[in-house]
Amino acid sequence: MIESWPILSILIFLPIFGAFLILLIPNKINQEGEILKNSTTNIKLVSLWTSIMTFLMTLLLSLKFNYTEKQYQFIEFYEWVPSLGIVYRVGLDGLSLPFIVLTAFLVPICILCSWNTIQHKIKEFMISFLILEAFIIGMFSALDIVVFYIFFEAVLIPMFLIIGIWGGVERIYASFKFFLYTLLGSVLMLIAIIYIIGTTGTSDLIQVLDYDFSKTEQLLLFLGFFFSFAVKVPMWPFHTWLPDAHVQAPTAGSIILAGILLKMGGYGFLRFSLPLFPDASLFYQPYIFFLSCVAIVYTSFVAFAQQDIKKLIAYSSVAHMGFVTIGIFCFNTQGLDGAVFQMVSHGIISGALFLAIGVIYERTHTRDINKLGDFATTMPKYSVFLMFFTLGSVGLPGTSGFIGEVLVLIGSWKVNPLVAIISGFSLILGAIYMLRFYRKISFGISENQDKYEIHDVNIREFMILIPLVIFIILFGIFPNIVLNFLKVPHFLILETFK
Amino acid sequence: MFIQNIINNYLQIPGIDGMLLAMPEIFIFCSTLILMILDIFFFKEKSFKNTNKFGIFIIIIAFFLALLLPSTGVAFNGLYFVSELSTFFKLIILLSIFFVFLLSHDKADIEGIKFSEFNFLLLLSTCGMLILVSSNSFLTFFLALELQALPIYVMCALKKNDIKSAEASLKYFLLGALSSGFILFGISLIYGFVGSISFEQVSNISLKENMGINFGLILILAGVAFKISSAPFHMWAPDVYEGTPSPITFFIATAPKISILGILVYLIYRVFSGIHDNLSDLIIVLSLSSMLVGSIGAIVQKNLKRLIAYSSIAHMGFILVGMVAFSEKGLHAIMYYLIIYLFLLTGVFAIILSLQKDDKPIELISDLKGLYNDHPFISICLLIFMFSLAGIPPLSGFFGKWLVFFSAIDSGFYILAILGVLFSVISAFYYLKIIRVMFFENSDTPLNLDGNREIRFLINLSLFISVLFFALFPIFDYMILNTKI
Repeated sequence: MIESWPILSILIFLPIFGAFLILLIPNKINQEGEILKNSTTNIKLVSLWTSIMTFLMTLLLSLKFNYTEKQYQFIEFYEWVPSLGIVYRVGLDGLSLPFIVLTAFLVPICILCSWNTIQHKIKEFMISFLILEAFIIGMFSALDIVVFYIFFEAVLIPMFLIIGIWGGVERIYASFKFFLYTLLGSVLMLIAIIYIIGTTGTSDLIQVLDYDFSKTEQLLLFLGFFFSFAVKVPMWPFHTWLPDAHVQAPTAGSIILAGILLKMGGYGFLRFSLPLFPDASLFYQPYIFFLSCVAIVYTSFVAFAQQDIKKLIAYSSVAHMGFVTIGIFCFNTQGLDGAVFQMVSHGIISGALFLAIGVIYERTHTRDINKLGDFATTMPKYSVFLMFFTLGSVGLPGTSGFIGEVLVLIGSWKVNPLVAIISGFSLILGAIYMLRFYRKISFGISENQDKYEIHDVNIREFMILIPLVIFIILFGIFPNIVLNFLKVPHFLILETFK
Repeated sequence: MFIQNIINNYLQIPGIDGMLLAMPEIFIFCSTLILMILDIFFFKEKSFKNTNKFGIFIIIIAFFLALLLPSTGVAFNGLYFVSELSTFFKLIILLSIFFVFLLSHDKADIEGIKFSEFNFLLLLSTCGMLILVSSNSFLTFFLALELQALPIYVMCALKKNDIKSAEASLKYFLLGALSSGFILFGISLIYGFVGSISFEQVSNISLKENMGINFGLILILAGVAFKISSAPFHMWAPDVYEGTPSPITFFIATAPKISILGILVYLIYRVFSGIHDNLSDLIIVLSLSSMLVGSIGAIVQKNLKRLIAYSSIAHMGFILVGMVAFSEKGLHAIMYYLIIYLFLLTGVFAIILSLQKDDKPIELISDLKGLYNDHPFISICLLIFMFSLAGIPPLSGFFGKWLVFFSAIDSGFYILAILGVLFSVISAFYYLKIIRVMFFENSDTPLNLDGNREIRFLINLSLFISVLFFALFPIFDYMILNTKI
């Protein structure tokens, strides 16, 4: 029965519906002009429940999902603009489902972690966040290039507001840089998409996949898509927006940025660039390997020099995403599996790290690594959590970070051993800067320790940190939970290369 | 058709067909004259309000006349024609005039233009515009062009004691007269080489090799570019926009440009289709330079209306891309773009008119500081209009941009499309700047919101169109696809 429902559209529009409900909650104001506490609590609760409902629906979807089916599932199809060949087609395959579940998993965490930190304009914050969630889910489930593009770029609007309104001191600069950088990348994709529709006469991905582009067309179209995805990933040298955006965004913004928005690039490569332009992908493989290697090594060194913890994690994200792009362009099963797994695991780990930083920042109001320290004695529970996240980020066996990296290394060794050696070497660099960070935070001596009143993680923070730890270890021990989804889509992608 | 049948069967008057085709114009003209007399003898104190209300009434009737009367035909010995395309442009023009009336209804007082002449001039200019999009010979073309332009020069100067208004009017008049001179010289050259001023005869003659005709065409194009404020003929626009009262700025920014684009479409797609290759290079230059000037020039602006002037120059550049494409897709893209742009500008001007700082209309971008804290709904509306003007999906502006570049790529103008989207990124910067001022900054002096019913209606209407355009797209698609040139 449930199969006949437009379940995916319900999933996309459920957060928007929640946002609409929040809009209806009045801001009751007391005599001093402050917003009454119970109306803000209502707002928070509505948004939390909406996001939890969305998460439960994605779990339902993954239970109903058939691993072995080669077609897209939960497909919905409506004519939209017949004269231009644009249709509204959404559907899922094993590639998009993990990302949708990840999105729906991280959003309640983001809402919970901004429970007390967001002090003003709570209503608007929650609305932006739910709309952002809807756009992201829409983007991951779109099977029409135009629908994909619309969601892909629409994500910029709420994210721009989240950084710009609730961000740090330099928020305006960071939000402008984020917006214009990503917009510049994606308009070139617009041109490529228009060209594809012009030549194939449709924007329906399933039909476009059957069309064979000539070599020259592929080389140019690939570049059009490449710039927008490379900015999103972000690949070196298109990464400069990321540290600014991360540092200035509020904690929840950083989590969603590192956890999901960066994955849009990798997902785009897998969904469009590889299947549509196989020849061009092969042609550009060495260049992308080069950029990724530079990203991994260079940003690791840069991360080592950072004083601001958020910047450190931001640069480490660039390095980790370097692994993803290497894995994607290996064109073998291990590489692709490793890339997607690395994306999912990085989504959880980097989200967790930003959350952990948010916990410190809430108490100390600083992110300077030199001013912090000795949390092992002041916040013992917190230090244990942070250790899990740090080790996950380093890629310790048993955590989810390990699986992704090792699969990518195996995959790249088959194609180009030099790349595997360079990226393997940088695993050590990653360990150096992350462990330095952990040593300083947990065991180092801080300069002005006495100024802060530090209490350990409270029940709310505990509740949001626990699932993250569980998933990091669960995916580290049973990677097949994710990898099962990926078998068929990766097989189909690799088919096009034969 | 129904009305035509009745008239043909029951009232056999010679020449009634031609009269029927031109009925909206005739109706507006006659009723304006009657309204003037009524105003002198009856309206006295409430002169402005009453003429304004009658004006709205006249426009609505003209709208339905244009909609329901026969939609194709040639009249008055080939001087005048009506096609589905010209009817489309007439409807859009009447819609924008309707918006002008609504915007000025309660705001004329504070803007200093509370003279009943405003309404008469507006109606006369409308009459000129409707004739312009229907003109089928260079004579009608030029006369209609002047009929639409002359009232505008006067309207710019309505705020008699304001030095900026006088400057704007003088600048607009001098440059407008100069461009009319260009057009007239171009027409005379074409007449000299073709021997006719009828569009039909001009389009029948092979024009490609003829230097004189090409030269005349360049002159006409330059004059038209003046009127639609396309770079490099844009210099008047920022000053005129800044100097004139807001309802008139809105009027200048929409209706005359729509009518001139309407006749330009006809000239390019029909009359001079034989020499489109020569023309397209010129239009590419106009289009690219407009996008360049519009997007770079707006960055440094501090005055809100100057910024809108530059942004409208950039948007003219985008619209001209559709002209370059020279295909049915390009034509449809222009039509879409005009609808979308009209609604967006309506929303923006309705908001500008409804806001006051220290009992004066807002002028600078920095006056919008902290708007979000004072009036959340209005600022969210403006946010949506700005993102839409910047062409961010899923808002309406994106679809306009998309269709225009679609037509360009479809016709093989790849470089133009790529440069166009890059300029659109640059222009996103200054739209973001307005959002920044509203949302990210705070101010000490609060803004007053004084939106009457008409203005609230316009804001809501524009919001509706720009947010839900994606849902209305199939409907527009159906309407526009069935329009023949």
